[in-house]
Amino acid sequence: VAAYRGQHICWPQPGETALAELELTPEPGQAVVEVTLSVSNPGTERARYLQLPNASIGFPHVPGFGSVGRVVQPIAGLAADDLVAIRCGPHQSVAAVAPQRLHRIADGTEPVDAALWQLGLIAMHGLGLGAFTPDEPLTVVGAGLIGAIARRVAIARGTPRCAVVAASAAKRWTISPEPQTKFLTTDDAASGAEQHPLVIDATGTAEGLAAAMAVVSDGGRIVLLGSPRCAAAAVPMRQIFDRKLRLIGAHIDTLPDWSAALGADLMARYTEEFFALVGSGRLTAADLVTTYAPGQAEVLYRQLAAERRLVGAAVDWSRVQARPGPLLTSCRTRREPWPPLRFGLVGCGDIGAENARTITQSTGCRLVACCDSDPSLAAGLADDLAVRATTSLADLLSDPDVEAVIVATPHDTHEPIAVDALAVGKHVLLQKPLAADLPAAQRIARAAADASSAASVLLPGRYSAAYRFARQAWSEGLIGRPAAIVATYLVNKNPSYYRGGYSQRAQSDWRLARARSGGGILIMNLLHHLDLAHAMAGTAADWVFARTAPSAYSAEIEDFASVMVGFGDVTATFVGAASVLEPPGEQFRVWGPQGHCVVLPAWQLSSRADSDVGVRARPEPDDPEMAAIDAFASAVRSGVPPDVTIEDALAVQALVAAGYESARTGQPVDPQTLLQPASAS
Amino acid sequence: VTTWTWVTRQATGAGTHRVPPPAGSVAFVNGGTAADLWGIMRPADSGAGQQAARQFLMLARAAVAAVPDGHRVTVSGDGMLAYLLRRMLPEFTRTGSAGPVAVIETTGLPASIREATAKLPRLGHLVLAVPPRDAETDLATYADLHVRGLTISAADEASAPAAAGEDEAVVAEALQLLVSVTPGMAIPGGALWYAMYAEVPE
Repeated sequence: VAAYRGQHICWPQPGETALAELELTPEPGQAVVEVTLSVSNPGTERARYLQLPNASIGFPHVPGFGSVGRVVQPIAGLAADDLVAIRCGPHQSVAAVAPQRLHRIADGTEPVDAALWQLGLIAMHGLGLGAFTPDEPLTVVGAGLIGAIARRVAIARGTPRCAVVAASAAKRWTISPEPQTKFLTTDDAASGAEQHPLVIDATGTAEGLAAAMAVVSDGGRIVLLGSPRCAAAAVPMRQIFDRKLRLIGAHIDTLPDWSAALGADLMARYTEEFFALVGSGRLTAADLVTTYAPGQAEVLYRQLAAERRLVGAAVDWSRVQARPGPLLTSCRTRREPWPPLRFGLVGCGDIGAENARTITQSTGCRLVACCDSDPSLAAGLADDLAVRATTSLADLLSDPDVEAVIVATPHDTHEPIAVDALAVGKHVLLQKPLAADLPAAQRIARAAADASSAASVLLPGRYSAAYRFARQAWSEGLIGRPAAIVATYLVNKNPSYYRGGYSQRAQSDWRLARARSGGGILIMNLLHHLDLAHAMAGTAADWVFARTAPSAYSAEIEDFASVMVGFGDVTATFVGAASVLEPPGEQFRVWGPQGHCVVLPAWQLSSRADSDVGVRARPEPDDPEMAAIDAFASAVRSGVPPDVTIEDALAVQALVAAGYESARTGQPVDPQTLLQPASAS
Repeated sequence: VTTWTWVTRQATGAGTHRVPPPAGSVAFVNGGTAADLWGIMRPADSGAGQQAARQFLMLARAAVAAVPDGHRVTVSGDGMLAYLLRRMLPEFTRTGSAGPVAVIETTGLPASIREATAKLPRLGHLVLAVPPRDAETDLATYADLHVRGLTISAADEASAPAAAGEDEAVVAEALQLLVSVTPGMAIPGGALWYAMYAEVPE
């Protein structure tokens, strides 16, 4: 029996993704398929990747929920070179598959749609249990992939009207090819203005069920298609009785039971219908799926875990051959899919030295040069790290060995350095903030938009395991609809800090001059928390209200800032001060009716939805700064936008600017009004 | 329209209304061993008992009508409604060993609802015969509802089949089992149902 070799995506442990070599030997009766494309089931895979409640799996694990490819080792009924879809096929370039998980498809069939076979079955099973009839309207709660497929199947079957209810507008774009579909926010849904007799809840959250109750008409049916990620949840039983509703659990594992109860082979029936709809072009979800190269696997799952706009994900294996040859690595041995990104450091002071050391310890990056206008700073650090030193930015930017620059200079110099670097095609990773003020930040954003290279801002808090799990707890409903965020950044900065930073490596008074630093505690420190809250909320701020008090060391900058920000329904309060004796440091917490999550100083989650979750989801210690720099390198190498985009950084800079403006005027400020086009100067 | 009430059995054994009933009314309380018991309110006139018995029968009929065809049925609870349901259901639906299962829940209590959902097999069906006591009940939405594909629905008096000829015999039997209690009086533990007056009748 021949052995086949290829590659697969695997998770050696929770939250970690690797691309590894694969060797398989088919069992008797199995066909071997050279896979060209595989797809994810985003909700389930996200939960498994993050080890959320009710998503326990063993590790290492090979994710993936369906694939397509060509038969290379035929079996009865399938010839070599036949194009087939594989139900539940994992993300791997070659697969040995039993015939019941294979379906021959016609050439020309959209591969993404064919690979979504299992997800189509899940959606059809939900509609079946909900007794959907083509003449009735349908509402789907949740704008993810399963919900989208459910509504598109309903549309293909002829439903006259469809509605989708979502917590945010991040996935509104998914309805663009659906003229029958109306997009509602949960607030719209709560008004009960539009009710339908059948509602599919594809969220699995308490909020999703509440929205479903609001949009179902009396006597109607609610299908629980999304997997709840908590041990127990409050079910509105009285309302079910009073309104004569029907609540129906729908898991794909019950399809055989339901088939037996009806005396029909629903798997075959749904499969036949699914491929008929896909083949005729009446059903497609390909527009909802982002395709990644196998080498981008890490990016795929990082984005799946954190990016609200991502709906579906596929992996293109078409350039990976099921080839003979030596087994290079196993799932447990991570293989670096690309060479390290070669950085030049600009600014060898306090933070620059820290960044440089992080880069030298990273496997995804390499430091090749240090640049500082102070020759002793540049040479001292370069000697320590055994790299080249220069005092000339132009010299650094003309060095072909430097692919990217990491900029750790006074804030007012970010703009000229970033603009020059981007102009010569260097990738740019800036220390926060994006710039000293909003107009300069906008000019950097414009330069980045015009550049062929990538640009981002180093905001390591986004990469802490605690933040990642908090974000997930939020989106999975473990804290309920978030009510508030409270963050404090209380530190005690000695007078020496303002002239030499924490390390005293470089003496300068730029931190005390507003024109150079942009301000004090708000832009220097609270900005980190503003970014976390902005990223967590996933929505633009509506208003900012702030008060500040000047520093004893310079009246130009503030020592104290108290800032309130409205992110839709969520009010976030930030307090920062730089002269607190015996300071408590950083604290960041978010809570809602179902739970309370502490991100800083130490992860803690209490949830009414699952009393065990705090124990099970406790993140391991991690290195957010290295993760942030590695993620930037990974994005550059794989050609996808960085996780922290310049638009993100600009939005946070606008929050800071709105805070200063509010403190100046005593009035709340809408940060969007400040984001006017930058002047040409 | 049924007017529902809840009665709590105190440590003394006496039943007290959660919400004081209007003067001149009588609560026909579904008996059983639980501390909290539901009842229906009626004006305390001479035909109240007979009307209440017919109402209980209607509730039972509505619950049976809510069970999908072909289901094996069990009944949770030990009051009059459960008694009527068990009397009404064909023997095979209570003892059969094949096919999907439904539970008719007659207590309205969260613990009983939870127990019923936990015990139902895949594709099982929970029928709420009476309004749950609490607005919300904590359930294992993943392990019970979602994965096992359970359905929760409600009996609807409006869709109950019309009265049948044999009903009068059932009503007469129920009336024989009716126990009257007055405020402050201990609730008889073994009673299937009882009439609890708002005040001592003259």
